[in-house]
Order: sequence, then C-alpha cells, then structure tokens
Amino acid sequence: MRWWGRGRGKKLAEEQSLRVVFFVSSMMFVVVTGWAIWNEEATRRPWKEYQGEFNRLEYQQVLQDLAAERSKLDTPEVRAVRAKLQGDLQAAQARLAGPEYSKAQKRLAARQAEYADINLRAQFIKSELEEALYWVEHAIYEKKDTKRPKATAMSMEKQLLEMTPKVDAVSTRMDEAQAEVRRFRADVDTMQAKINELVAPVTALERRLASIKVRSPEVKQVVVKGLAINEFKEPILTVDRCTTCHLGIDRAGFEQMKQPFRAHPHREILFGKHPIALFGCTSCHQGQGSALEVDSAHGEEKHWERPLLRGNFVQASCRTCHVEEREVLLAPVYSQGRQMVEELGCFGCHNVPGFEKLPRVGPDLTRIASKVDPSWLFRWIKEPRAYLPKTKMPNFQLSDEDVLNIAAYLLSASQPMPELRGAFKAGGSVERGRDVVSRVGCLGCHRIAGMEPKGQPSEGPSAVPPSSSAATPSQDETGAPIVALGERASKPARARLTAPPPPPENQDFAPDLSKIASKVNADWLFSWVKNPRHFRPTTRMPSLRLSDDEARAVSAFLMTLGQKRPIAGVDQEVKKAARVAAGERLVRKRGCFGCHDIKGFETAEKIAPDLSSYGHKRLLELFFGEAVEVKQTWEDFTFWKLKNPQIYATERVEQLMPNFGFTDEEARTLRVFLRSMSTQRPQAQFERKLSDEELAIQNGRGLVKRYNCNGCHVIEGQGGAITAFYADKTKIPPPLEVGGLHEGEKVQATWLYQFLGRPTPLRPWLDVRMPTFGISIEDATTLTKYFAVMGKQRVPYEYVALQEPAGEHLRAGRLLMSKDYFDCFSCHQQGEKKPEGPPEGWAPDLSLAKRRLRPVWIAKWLKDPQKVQPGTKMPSYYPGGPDDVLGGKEDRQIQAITDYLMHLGER
Amino acid sequence: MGKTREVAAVVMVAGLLVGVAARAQAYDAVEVKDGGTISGTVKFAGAPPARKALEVTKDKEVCGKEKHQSLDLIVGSDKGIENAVIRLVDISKGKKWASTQAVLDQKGCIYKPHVVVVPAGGDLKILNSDGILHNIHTYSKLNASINKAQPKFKKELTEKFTKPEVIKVTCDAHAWMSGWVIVSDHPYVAVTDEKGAFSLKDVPAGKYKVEIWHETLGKSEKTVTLKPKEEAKLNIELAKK
Repeated sequence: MRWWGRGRGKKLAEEQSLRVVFFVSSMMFVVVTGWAIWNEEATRRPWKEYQGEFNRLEYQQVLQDLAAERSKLDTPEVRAVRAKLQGDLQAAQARLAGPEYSKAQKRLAARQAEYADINLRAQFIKSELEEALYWVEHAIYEKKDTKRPKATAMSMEKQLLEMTPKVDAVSTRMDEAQAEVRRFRADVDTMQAKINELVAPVTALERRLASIKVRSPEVKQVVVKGLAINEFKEPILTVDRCTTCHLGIDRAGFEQMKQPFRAHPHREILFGKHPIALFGCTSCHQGQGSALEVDSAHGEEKHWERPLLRGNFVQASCRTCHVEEREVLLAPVYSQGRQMVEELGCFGCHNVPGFEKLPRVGPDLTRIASKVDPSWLFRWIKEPRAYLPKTKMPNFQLSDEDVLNIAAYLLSASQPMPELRGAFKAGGSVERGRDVVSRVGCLGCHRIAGMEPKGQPSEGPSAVPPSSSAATPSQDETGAPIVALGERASKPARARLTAPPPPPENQDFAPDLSKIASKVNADWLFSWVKNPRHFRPTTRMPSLRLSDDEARAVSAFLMTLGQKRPIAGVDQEVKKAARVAAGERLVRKRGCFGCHDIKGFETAEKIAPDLSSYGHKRLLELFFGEAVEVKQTWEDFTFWKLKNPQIYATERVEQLMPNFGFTDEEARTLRVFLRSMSTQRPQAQFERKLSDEELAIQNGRGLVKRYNCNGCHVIEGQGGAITAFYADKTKIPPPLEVGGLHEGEKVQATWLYQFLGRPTPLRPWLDVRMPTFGISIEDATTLTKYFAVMGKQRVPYEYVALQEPAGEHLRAGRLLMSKDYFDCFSCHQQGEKKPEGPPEGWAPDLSLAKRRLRPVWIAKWLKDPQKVQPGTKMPSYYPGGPDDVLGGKEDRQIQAITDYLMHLGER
Repeated sequence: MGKTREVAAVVMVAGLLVGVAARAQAYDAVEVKDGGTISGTVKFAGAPPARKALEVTKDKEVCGKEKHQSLDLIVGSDKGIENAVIRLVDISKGKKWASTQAVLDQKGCIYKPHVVVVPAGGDLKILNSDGILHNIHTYSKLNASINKAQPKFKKELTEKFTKPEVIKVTCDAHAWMSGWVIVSDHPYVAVTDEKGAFSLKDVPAGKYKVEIWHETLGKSEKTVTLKPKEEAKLNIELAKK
C-alpha cells in the first residue's frame, strides 16, 4: 500500500493515475461475473441436470417406439398395402395429369363461360324489368297513362320467365362439370390420406424426437388455487414446481423408471379424478412446492412444517376431502386405521372427528354383579388377555389394590337383574347342549375350543359358488388394488378394499367361549341365551329363539367349559366402603366409562386429549418425558405412544392411556390414520360427497359388520366362515351376495325388511337359524336399501306390478308345475303341503314366492339356475321345455310359471 | 407345441364326432395286430362288509319296487369287487372305440349301470325309464358340471363329456341315488363284473401302467408287461384304507 500513500502525497488527486486500480477492479468484476454465471447455470440449477437426463431417457424410449413402429410398417403385409396405396395414388395422379382431366377442365371452363354469359343476360333483363316497373309506378304517381309502361313490364317479365329455366339448365351442367373435376382431385386426396394414416404413428414419433432435441431447460410449475382456505376464507394459492424434476409423473412407459422420473402409481385413476392442474402435488404429498432443490423441495429441512409425506403416510391426505368415506379406495392403510379406531373405540376417551355419534364399544356394566363373580372380575381387569387373548379391552397396568377398588365400585353400582321367565335347572343334557351349540349358529360368531372347523371354509362348489366369470370383485381382494379399480369402473357398486372378514381361526367378533364357566353363572347364562336383550337392551347378541329346554341344555354344556377360580378374601374386600369410594375415583380418572356404560358416569366428559389436529402437532407439543431412546420425530413419538404409552411416564407426569398390545404393524397403521387428523378443511367444492347409492352401500357394510352377517352368509364374496363347521354342505346358510346372485335382485324389498325385523324359518332342513336381532327400523331400512343397491334395484320399496293373467296362462303354469311336467313339488314345499322324504331333500316354500320373490328374478332363475347360483340343487329345465304346452315357446312357459307362482293359493 | 396339439385335438374331435370313434388329445387309433389281453380279478382283502339297506323315502310306488342296497362297495362271492374300474394310463396308440355312445338308465331310482364308461367326446344317452322327475347333477372339475332336470316328458337326454375324468352323478330329488361316469379317451378301460373279473382285449404289446379305481377303496396303480398274442394276468387285492 505504500505506493498509494506515497503518490497521494506528491500529486494532486486530479493528476493521480487510477489505471492500476481500475484494471484490477474490472478484472475482479469480470471474474465475479463469470463465477456468478457459472454458479447460476451449473451449481444452483440441479434440476437442469435432471431435465437433461430425462430428455436422454425419453429420447431413448421414443427411439425404441419408433423402431417398433417402423418395423411394423416393414412387415410384408403392411408393405404390400402401402405399395398398393402408392400405386393407386400414382394412378390417380397420372389421371390428374392426363388428357381426361384437362378435357374435363376445359369442359368446365367452357360451361363456366356459357353460364357467365347467360347469367349476365338474365341480370340485364332483371334490371330492365325493375326499370319498367319503376315507370309503371311513376305513371300512377303522375296520374298518367299506365298502359304503355305496363306492356313493357309485362314483356320484360315474360322474357325473364323464359330465361330462368335456361339459366338453371346451364348452371346444372356447370355443376356436373365441376363435380367431375373434383372427383379427379378427390381420388388423389383420399389415397394420400390413407397413406398418411398408415404412417401417422411414425411421423408423430419423428416429430416428438425432433422436439426433444430442441427442448430447452425450463422450470415447470402449476399454480394451484389450493384446496384449503385461509383465515380470511380465501383459497390459499400455491406454486408447485415438482414436475420440473418429476418429469415422467404422468407419462405412460415410465412406470418402472428410476426416480425422479417414475410415473405416478395408479396414474389413470388418480390423475383422472385429481387433475394436476387443479390439485397440484403438495396438496396431497406436502413438501415445499416452490423449491427447486431436492431436500428443500421435499420440505425436509429445519422449520418447514409440512415435510413430504413418505410411504403410506400420503394416504392420510385423502381424508382432507374424503372425510365422509369409511373406505378410501386407494388408501387401504388409512382405511384400515380408520376401521381400527372405530372397532377399538378410541373415541371413548379422545375426541376424534367423525366418530362423535357412535355408541360405546364395550359391554354395558350396569348389571355386572349378576353376571360375573368378584374373583373373575379382579383377574379380568388386571389382565384381560389372560382370559381372552384377542380381546380389545386394553391393559391399564393397574396395581392389585387399584384393581380391587375398581371391581368394588363396579359391583356396588350394579343394578339388580330383571326378573326371569323360566329358570335354569340343573340336569340339562350336556350332550344335547353341545349338539345345539354346534348346529344352531353360535359358531357364526363365537369360537369354542374343541369345536373345530370340519373342512375348508368357503371352498367347494356349494359353499361359495365361484361366479361363472370369476368376476366377483371381492374375490380378488388380495390382488393389486388396480384390479379392484378396474372392477369399480365397470360396476356402479363400489369395489371393496379393506379388511375382509378374518378367516375362522382368527375370528374374534364375539368372545371365545372356551372358558366361559370360569366367568359367568348358570342362571345368568340361561337367561342370556334365551333372550340377550332382556338383560342388556343394547346388545348385538341376537336371540336364536331357543326353547327353554334347548336353553337349559346349552347352559349346561357351556357351564362345563372352564372352572371357577375364587381368590380367597376378594368377596369380602370388594364390599368395603372405602374401596368403593376409591374405585369411583379410579373409574373417573382412567375413563372406564369411555367404553362401558357405568352407573354414575352417564354424562362424564372424555378424559383424554382431543385428537382433531393431532396430525399437525409440532415436536414441542409432544411430551417425550425421559424417553431418550425415542427419536425426536412425530412418527417415532406416535409409534411408541401406541406401542407402550408408559414409556413417556415420569415421576411427575402420569400416563393414563392403557396398553392395547398393538403389533408394530397395527401401530404403523393407526399412525397413518392419526397423521390425517387435521382441522384444515378444503373448499366446499373439493369435499367428496357420497351419492345416495354410495352412502347406502357404506352404511349397509357398516351394519353387515356390526351384526356380523358375514359370520354365516357370504356377502360381497366374503365370509360364511360357519360353513366350515358343517360337513354336509346342504346345511349351510344361504349365500346372499356373490357372483351373479344378489339378494336385493332376488327378493322383494318389503319382504326383506319384514324378515330382518322378524325372521321366519324358510328352509326347514337347516339346523342353523337366522337369529332375531331385534334391529331398529332404521337399521332394517338401511340393510334393505343396501341389498337393493347391490342388486342394482333403484328403489328399496317397490310395487310389484302384476297384471291379471289370462286363465289359460295360469292353467298352463299349473300344468307345467304338475307331476306330469316339471314336478316342482317333488322338492318344493307349498305351505302345509310338504314333499315326500326327509327335510334334507326339500326346497323352499313356493307359497311364499309371491310375497318374497321378485317376478323378474323368478324368470331369470328358471331360465338358468346354475348361472345365478353355481352348484345349486335346483336343476335347469330350459332349454328343452315340453312341446305341447303354450306352443312349446320357452319364454311363454317361463312367464306362465312365474305368473302362476305369483298367484299361488289364490284360486 | 401344446397349442398345436390342442388345435389338432379339437379338429379331430369335431371330425370324429360325425361317426367314427372319438378320441381326445394324444391317443391315436390304429389297427392292432397281434394284440394281447390283460385280464384278471379285483378282490377284497379281509372280511367283506355287509351292504346296508337304503331307505326309499320318496316316490315309493316307483322307486320302492325293489329293495335298495348300498352300492358303494359290493363284494360278491369269492370276494370279487364289483364296479371297480381298470384303465391303462399311459397308452398312446391302440384300437378304435367300438362304439361312440354309452347309455345310463334311471330305473327304479337306480342308475343302471352304476358305473358307466363314456368315450371322451362321445355321447352319453341318459334315459328316464321311471317316468318321474329325476335330475342329473354331476360334480366334475375338467368337464363342465351339469345339473339338468329330466321330468317325466323327457325320456331321453344326451350329454357330451370331452375330457377324461371320473365324475360323480347324483339326483337331488332322490338323495340315495348315486352313480359314476368314467370318461376315457381310449377304449382300454373296463368295469369289473359281479365276480370282480375284467379283461382288456387287443392291447398292443408293451409295458403299461394300470390304474385301478374304486369309489370307496380309492386309486392304486400296477404295471403290466404284455407280449404279442399272449394274455397277462393281473390279480388285484384292495383293502379298506
């Protein structure tokens, strides 16, 4: 720096040279500019590299496609076609150049000239006529003589009239010549079009290739008027630039490509319903849409609150709009999680939006004292899974002292049992009881050790008839979801994705009865099996309409399963007033009333935190306690909270949530559902509202699950596990919804509604009974509607339109059904008239048909029973009806039988 | 290879149904010279069980004329087993089927015969001599299952079976009725008579696997070597499993 200081001293500022300074600083400026350009272009635009790579990949792909297309053009057949077209084209072109064409052209020119000539003359005459008419008017106006002008006008008009046909004739001739000329040209054009069409794919691909070559890198973005609204009720605008790198996201042929170029799974469906232009990417996947570097775009950096939802977590986003749906088609994990919440009753303690109106999931405890003894109750509360390994009752990890207190309160708050009609008397036959239990249908819901399935369920022709086209959507359940989607597209009824009923060995819909005698007493059991609603009006357990005798036998048998194990002193301990008071406090604190009806807690508030925005909880809102082993993320916190809530307990902070004993898989599934818990609501137009039909199906499925119809019946191709307990497949409950068989198409809605409310035996050969569920009017209506929609019937309640058929028609029907013809009553019952032989060989009562069956279905069934229900005992009579009735016409015969059935018993 | 074979088989079957013996897949009908005979008996090992009486519960005036006894295991004098089926398994060349159709009658609510052999692709004529409602309900896997009614006015039905298979036949109107249809693509198949005897004639010389099937006693296999113009004896004993 000395030269600078020195210079300063000697010379005036104006005289100093700044050359060096200027030179150095400009050089620096040049370098910085160069660096800035380089930095901007090369290092800060990682997406450019991706685009370059994508262009290469796409180029390769198009090249391959092009080669394929070209080779297609190169096959001898196509080449022959092309050669022929080319030949035709040349011929047409030659004709265009030949003398015929020029002759035609000349002819056209001549006729055009002729037309112009005659037309001109006609125009002149017209003008002169106008003039003459003017003079006529003029004469009238001037009050002069009109004779002469009128005569002129007349002659002009006459001339014009004579002229007109001539003009027309010439015009037609000109048009003909024109058409001929055009024909020459058209030949060439059609040939050219045909050739173009043949090579169109190749030209299109060639154009694409060319366009890839000249493509320049660019940031691609979608501006989305977001799903969500801000505090001021205005849609939040977002910019998603994800497709700048994810270039193949909506492109066929990129399904197997490496990331970031891979096509979106289930692209057709997802983008079909959610166009990128409307939804963008981040509304489902989250992340930072405007960013263009990998980590920041994925939102995986500090302080970005909505990082990319990886793996199954993205399914949580579906809830934003699909909040009404229980099963979201492409979100099986989310749907499964939702179902778990519903079944486990999380909403008993937590506020979970969407579950506000559900009944408590546990049994009513207001009469518990008449059902179980104190020792059993003690052991149960202490460790529920010791008695029922599959129970959903969680373990509260209570001390013996606390357990005793809770038991004391529950027993003291218990109400007396309602009075019984008929009582259990010792001496019911255990053997008979075992027989009844194994046959009447208990095993549709309950499991009992020692009563094991006799064969494979749902297999074999009569158990679950495989549909002729194998098109039952639900049978492909395990297949890829896209298969189910295809089915959905072709059917109005919605394909079902989640949670088919478990196989019989895993079924735990109702308690396992293997140790029932250690729990309950015989008197209670008798009253319970006789009429469950007598003891607990809200129970789902139906009545099987057991006679007193049967109920006694069943109780006697069940009381042989397990033994009472009294614990010394418990009976006295639970009576202590101090314990009762302490128990009440504990019940309040641990929220037992969230799942059970308990006297004194009818209006108690939920004890646990509201979950309605749990998915967006920030780390600082989550209490990790001293659990340093748990990683500090939302995901890990939630996982361990579900797996073992006590992990976050410290000396000062208690954890009240019980342990549900979730497997890792279950915890992960629930976690996806919890991720969806958000208070953010989309704009109204994005909310997916279910149509009437969809709602009917969803509600119906809910009830089918609630009442476990699937335990006995095959519905939507699933269930019927009870089948496995019957060696004789004629003894199984009828399937309701599988393949071509639809209960709603088969029976009249009004009949089904009545039947659901008050079932009457239809098939006397079955030991298994359709239970009386005592369902509400609403539930019966919902189920009826569900079956109607599944059977593609529009209205749940219909008027069965019947015309008064001709007497001859009815007589023919009766004749056809008689012994000399189809002999229907060889197997079918008719009211009190029963067929010969044992009931195993009987078929349903035809006198019920007119109230039960839909006439359209009867005709369909008669035409080909095997098509409706493969494996049925009902044989086919058609084709091949008798020739001597109704002229041998099958359709008329079938109609006659149908009409006769619909009037059976009337005359 | 498999495709062409199938096509060939379809063409052949279609052609042959017109009149000649029907064959399926890999069996070629040729003229057999110097053929031998495989004959013998199928006998029951151990004390033969007594046949149970079957109760006629329905249509007694037609079905109840004769007493019905169980048909699932009939052991005759000398312990011969009736209605066992003897069939060569791995034969690809041999004589033509002598007939193209078989007859199954329903008489007195019994299938006659109890075991009927049908050429693959040939016709099974099903008669209803009873004049009451029967139905033909078959339980098959390879051929299409049928369940057709045969009311009084329908004296005769004709069914075709194209693939070799053992098919059970029942009547849902009369629970005790049961029968069997044996579909074979070659004629070297025999059903034992009441003495348990059988014979397969005009068999080209060679070494063969012989399958023995019985509805109650199951399936077993034997090998037999046959010289030209000679007779090979095959005596089989079956026991309850």
